[in-house]
Amino acid sequence: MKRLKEESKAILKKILVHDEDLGGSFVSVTGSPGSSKTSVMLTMMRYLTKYQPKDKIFMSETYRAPLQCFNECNGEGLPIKLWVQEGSGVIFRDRNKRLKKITLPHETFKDFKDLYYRAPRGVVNVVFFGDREQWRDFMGYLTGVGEWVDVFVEEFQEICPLLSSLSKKLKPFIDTAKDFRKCRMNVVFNTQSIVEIAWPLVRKIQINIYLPGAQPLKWSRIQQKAIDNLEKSPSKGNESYIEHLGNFGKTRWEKIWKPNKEKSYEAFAER
Amino acid sequence: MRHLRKDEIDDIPHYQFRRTFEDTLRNQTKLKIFIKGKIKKNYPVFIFEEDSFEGLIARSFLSQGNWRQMYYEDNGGKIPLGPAHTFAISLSKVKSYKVDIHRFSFKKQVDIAELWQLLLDELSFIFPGALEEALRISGEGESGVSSSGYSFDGDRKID
Repeated sequence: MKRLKEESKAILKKILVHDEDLGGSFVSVTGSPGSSKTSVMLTMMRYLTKYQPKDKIFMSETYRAPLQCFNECNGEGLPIKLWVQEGSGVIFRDRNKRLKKITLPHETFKDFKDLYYRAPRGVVNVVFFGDREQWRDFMGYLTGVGEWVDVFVEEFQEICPLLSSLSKKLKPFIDTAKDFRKCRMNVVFNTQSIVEIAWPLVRKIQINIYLPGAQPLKWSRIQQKAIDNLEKSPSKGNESYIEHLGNFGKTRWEKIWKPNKEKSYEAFAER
Repeated sequence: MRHLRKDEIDDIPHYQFRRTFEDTLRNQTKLKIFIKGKIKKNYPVFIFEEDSFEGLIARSFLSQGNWRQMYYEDNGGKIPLGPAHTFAISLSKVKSYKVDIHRFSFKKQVDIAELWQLLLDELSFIFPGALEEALRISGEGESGVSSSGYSFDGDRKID
């Protein structure tokens, strides 16, 4: 089973270690609720903040749900910075105090350019536009910045839903997605099921990470039964299959990220 | 067995054809139990068992039965019975308790249990090859084998 280890390591290296020749990657993380999809992304962000300090890292969170960027692993969180677009009507609420409006330290920005140039490096920049669909345009903007950028998107189906497959609005983003690799962008997103995403984008995904409960793509070499047999351990971490260009390996995500109960905040777009 | 139409074959998802090591091993055990049951009672394959038997053969042999010639030995003479996979399928078509074996001037009637025993003996040559083939075509390990995966914690540098 050494091959599974080596393949897995090689594929992870492709995502997390920058290689100018290979470029960036477009990665999907799928699995059933509670299969540690967010933990996988947080672990990757932790690695990038530590070993790629020159990268600009952006994260897209969902609204009206606890913010995952405050999750902790062994009492240690990620270095984060919150950004809210001017006039977006985004507020923060405390879920421990019956959704009372609170003020979290954050900065505001005018437009994409303003955000990009002010966003610090080596820190996870959690951005709120008010409307999640704006992330498509922002990722389009990032393809043109000319340096290594990492984007992590929670619940990608809210940004590119299946029903938008034939929409003209999605067309520019589909064209953008094919350039992620060439433009030195790492885009990692998670979703419960890949069938919820606009189908023209599914073929553009380079690397698939299947956590327990995931459904493999029709053309994947990994079969459903193998995914069902993945080990799920609340102490040692869940296992996943990771696939790239028909090669696949198995990874155990050792770190267990838990919600910070004192910081149960959510973002809410008032508009 | 009803033959599938072309459009029906196209509808079968690809992953159904990919057999893993565990699948093969499980099917091999099932086949051995099935054959031992037939030997004990000297039974042929019944009509309602035909489809599942052929599936069991295919899944546990992984095409490794096509290269093994089988023989019936009698008084030092060898009567060819064909490749193991073909022999197993043709055996499933026999519906009587006695089977005629004849070649040129040789003719003999034997219990079907005797032929089942021949097939059972042959399995020890076919199964290891099938398992090797299963490992070659599929890298999935058994469930809970923690050492098969790469442990990543985000702290150690990937070298």
